[in-house]
Amino acid sequence: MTYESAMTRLEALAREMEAGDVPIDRLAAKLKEAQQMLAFCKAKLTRADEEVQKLLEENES
Amino acid sequence: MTPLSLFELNNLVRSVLEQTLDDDYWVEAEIAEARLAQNGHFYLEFVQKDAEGRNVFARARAVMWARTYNLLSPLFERATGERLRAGIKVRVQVSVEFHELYGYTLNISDIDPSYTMGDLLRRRREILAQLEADGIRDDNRSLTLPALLRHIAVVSSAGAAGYGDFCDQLRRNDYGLAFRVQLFPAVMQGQNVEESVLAALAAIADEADRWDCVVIIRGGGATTDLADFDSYALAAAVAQMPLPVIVGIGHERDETVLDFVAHTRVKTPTAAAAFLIDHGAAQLARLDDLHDRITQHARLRVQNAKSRIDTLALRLATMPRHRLLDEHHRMALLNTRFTQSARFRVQNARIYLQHISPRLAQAATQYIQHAQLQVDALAARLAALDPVLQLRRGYSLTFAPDGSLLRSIAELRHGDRITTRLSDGTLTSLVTDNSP
Repeated sequence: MTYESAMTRLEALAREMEAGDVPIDRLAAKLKEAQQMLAFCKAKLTRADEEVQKLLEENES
Repeated sequence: MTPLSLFELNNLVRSVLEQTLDDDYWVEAEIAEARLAQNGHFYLEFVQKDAEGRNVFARARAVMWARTYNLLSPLFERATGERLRAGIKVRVQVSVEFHELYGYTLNISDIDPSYTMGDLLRRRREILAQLEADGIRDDNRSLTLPALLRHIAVVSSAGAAGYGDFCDQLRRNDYGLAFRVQLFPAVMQGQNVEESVLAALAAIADEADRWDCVVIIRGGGATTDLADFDSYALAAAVAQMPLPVIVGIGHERDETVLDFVAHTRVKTPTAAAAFLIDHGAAQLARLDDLHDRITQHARLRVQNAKSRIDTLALRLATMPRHRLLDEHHRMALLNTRFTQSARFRVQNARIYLQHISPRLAQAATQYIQHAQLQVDALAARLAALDPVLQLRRGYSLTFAPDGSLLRSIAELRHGDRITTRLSDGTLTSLVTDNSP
């Protein structure tokens, strides 16, 4: 997943929420997806991602 | 004619020049060489080239004495953003001097920066026109800046303060934004600028997918040598970069042709860093906004659903009570209506009775009187029918053996014993004959 595609998905989710189309049953799943996308995007922008990368690299070596 | 010594000839030339020429002239020329000597004097070589700029067809040495140089060169640099250096064109006020030993020299006493500025401007315009004609001028500017600017390829000179400032600024950003910066070192001043920057750009373009954007920044605080960037080859390379290019090589007043073709232009390296940080901060703000929009509406949705449930629950809870109350009410109403109507009816009946009773008594009396008369008449008629009376008149009643009243002779047979009742008693007879 790229930052841009995550952003696009987030925009779509926000629009869906605002339109009130999301059935209550799906609400929790949608929220969870949104939280994941937000976390992903934030990590891409901030140092969080770098720390993850560093950990991954350390594991590899 | 007696031959002259060289000195005499040179001296003759000198005196002719001094006598025939004015004190000074304004002359326009291109600087071919420029050199600041240790003693502070500034030595130049002026040339004039043909229209194609290839062949030199006039040349002259010139000098700006230290005092003049120290006065004029800062003014010139401030006005044009250029150092007095090879490659630029100048309009200078000179006095022509001829020295027996050193020969022909132009002694510079003043310089007109506006000419150089005009020339630089003209060159820039020509480059831009060429880029336009080639259809590439706006290529880089029409690229969309990626939402994520994280991997930054920097073209700058390694040791330069500007590059250090740029990196520091990125590192110290207030938003916790992460940037991965790689320097592609290039000469940012002097004749090798074009070749060096072109090489750096080519290296970046080779691995374009690794980078989000390119930043071209200059070394330090010097505000000179901008014209080195006014190159068609450089401008074309920047315009055709597959990544958005951010340039921060100009300064407050001046600009280069790159400023017109790059995706984004800023004034300084720190401004370039600020641009990247602002972009990242805007992205974070956008994420926060999306987060708010999504959670708020989700919360609203849950709240709405909950309040609907509450309403339903309330309706369910209050409905029977309502119904009960209704029933109660109805019963009470019915009761009232019932008792009222009963009372009404009883009252009616009572009134009716009160009204009817005198008439009833009267009618009853009449009825009884009438009945009495009828009874009397019937008694009279009945009396007339009394069989005892008939018997007294001579009629008799004959009964068959079974005790039934005889009405026909056909009921009897020979030898039957019959009983006859007369007024004073009965007699028994034996049937001997029965004929009509």
